[in-house]
Amino acid sequence: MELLPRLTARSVATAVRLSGAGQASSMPGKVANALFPGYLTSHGRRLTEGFAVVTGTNGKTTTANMAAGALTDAGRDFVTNSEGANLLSGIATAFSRRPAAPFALLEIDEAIVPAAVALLGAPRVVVLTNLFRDQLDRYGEVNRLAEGWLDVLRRLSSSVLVANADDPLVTWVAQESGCETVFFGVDVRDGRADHEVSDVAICPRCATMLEYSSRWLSQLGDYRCPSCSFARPPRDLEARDLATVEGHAEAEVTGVAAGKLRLRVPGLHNVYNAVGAVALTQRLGVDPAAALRSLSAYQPVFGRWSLVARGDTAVQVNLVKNPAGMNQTLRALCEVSGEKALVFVLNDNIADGRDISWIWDVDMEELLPPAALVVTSGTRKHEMALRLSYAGVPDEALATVDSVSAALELAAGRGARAIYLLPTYTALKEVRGALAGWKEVRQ
Amino acid sequence: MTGAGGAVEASPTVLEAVHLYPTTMNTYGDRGNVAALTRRAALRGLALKWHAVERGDEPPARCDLVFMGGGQDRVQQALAADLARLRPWLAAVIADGAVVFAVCAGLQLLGRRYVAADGSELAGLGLLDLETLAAKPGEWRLIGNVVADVSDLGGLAGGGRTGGPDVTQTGGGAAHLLVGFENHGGRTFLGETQPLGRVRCGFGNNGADGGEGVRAGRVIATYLHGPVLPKNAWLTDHLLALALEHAGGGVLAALPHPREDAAQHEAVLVAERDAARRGRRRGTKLPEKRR
Repeated sequence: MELLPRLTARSVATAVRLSGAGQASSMPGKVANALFPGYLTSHGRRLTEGFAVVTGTNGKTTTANMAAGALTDAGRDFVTNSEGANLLSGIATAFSRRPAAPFALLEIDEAIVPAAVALLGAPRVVVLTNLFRDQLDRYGEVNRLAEGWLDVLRRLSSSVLVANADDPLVTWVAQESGCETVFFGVDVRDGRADHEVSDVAICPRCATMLEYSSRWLSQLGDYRCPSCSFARPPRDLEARDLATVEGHAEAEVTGVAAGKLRLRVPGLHNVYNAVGAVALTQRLGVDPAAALRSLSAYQPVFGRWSLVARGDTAVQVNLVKNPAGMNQTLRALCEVSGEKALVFVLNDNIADGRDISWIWDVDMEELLPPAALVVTSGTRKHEMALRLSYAGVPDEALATVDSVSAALELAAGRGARAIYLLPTYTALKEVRGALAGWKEVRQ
Repeated sequence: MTGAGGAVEASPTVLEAVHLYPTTMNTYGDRGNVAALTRRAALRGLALKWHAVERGDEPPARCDLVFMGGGQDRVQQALAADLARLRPWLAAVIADGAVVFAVCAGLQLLGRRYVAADGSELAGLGLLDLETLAAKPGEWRLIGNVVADVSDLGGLAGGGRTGGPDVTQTGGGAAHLLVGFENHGGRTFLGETQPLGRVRCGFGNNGADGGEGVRAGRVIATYLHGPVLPKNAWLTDHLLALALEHAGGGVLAALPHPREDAAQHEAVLVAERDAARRGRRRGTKLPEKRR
């Protein structure tokens, strides 16, 4: 029954790789799903240990990869779509690669969760990372996405949720769903996000303006509604006392897991990814202390703060696609010392979102780190340059070029030794090509 | 943002500007509109003083410019009662000759009414002669890049021509190009009032009559975000000219806008390519909802 779709997917994968068209993380499954519409459902039934889902706006790929590392270290046999191919095609591709795995860890696009669950059945655990404005032309408003999730989760009484308690909208979904929920969070005193755009400024229950004692990342913070009982729930797992040591994030973890969290990547957003991964794997039976150890060895996948070098020049690549993520990336950059060249690659293809208005919601004025050179490229490079110019980047430091390669050449020509490349989703492919001859560096 | 060039004059003219509901009506890059107005005022030595008016806040007595952005459906419903509270103030401000600029939901809310898909009516502020009908079942949301020709800028009360290089691009008697991104389910139909522009690419107010936005005296509204003001510097300058005139500050100085024009030109090319690709297709396939 499953042999034909699997062979189909594998043949397509071979063809894609031979043609040099990419990693073959989506196309094989796309073809298999088209020719064999029952493939995902029949494979879903064969997963004897079920599957877990990671979804939300930001942090899906990193959370899933961090959890995958902990599962691997615990000796688990499972399949995962580790390359960020999070549509039905990516899931089918992953299944075709590891047909005998009894368990699946699946990153799933926040908008296709309903479709995926309809095909695959009820997940054992669902991680809800956060909901931020992202690709409004494709996803619509965050309230719509939340309602879509709720619709599905209300029918999944056996699933356990791992939900971000610091996000009022995620919390509302979890509480309304009736599902058993493990809440995770991060505690930040003196959060500095009061000026950041929020998509959940009003209470999800009663529409009163939410009040915060501290707000640290878009709408994430310590919130309460002044007129109804809605408030940030107690956290079952929480990271606190965040610090950045030589570009690496550290924190104390308390709750269902306790101990020191040490990452090889910076930023509050990665601490969120890490506690989400610990909470998820703990529900899957992994010892939390062992999970914390696995996280200390976690190396990012390409485009998620990955590092390459050639000679004495290093390039750090981090995907940016919405205001919350870009704000966090810029904050992380501010924590890194040394001279920098910044390269923004802004595309407006369908998978990026055709609407680029989001770049104007980024807190560039507050968060852009000092840089000797700022380069823009991509299909909307002039709008990106205008945005940066309005944020105060002087004309002599601002350049606009036609390709990622040209940006790298320009930066190298100006003597830049540390280049930070910030591409949108479809620009990642061009970045991968431009950095083909560079060497991966462990962090 | 307000830094560059703002402090060159000893006593700069202060323009009083009101931003309605900035923490909730801000969904589509509306901060960019605020940034554009602030920056192009500052570069001329004008101080644009923003007053954030949230739910329950008292608006300032003196006001030269009012800006209102777009917001999520749920937010608009939550704000309805507070908007009704502000109606007398807004009507007085308009009668006094201040400039009002509204985007997307702001345009709809200024109109007479909004008719939901089930036929129920929500009253608008009634400050613009227009009404909006929710998309019917099966109708698509109107989403995509837009280019509109804006002619006869003199018809916009008070302002002179502030055009830059974009004037030469339009031809056909149009004075300016208006470029942006639209994303709305509601179809707006104008009464005895003029559209701001005529769409060349994209859908505009309703996808049927070719009109985009609305202008009535010193009230200007558009469906375009993207945001619209940074890459349409002529419109930013026009709004500033009207506000300056209202403040009794004289004539707005000329100021070039090469970066703004480069961004505008880039957006025009994208919109034209989209239009060519789309051909006769009339809409974007997405779940329907109201805006």
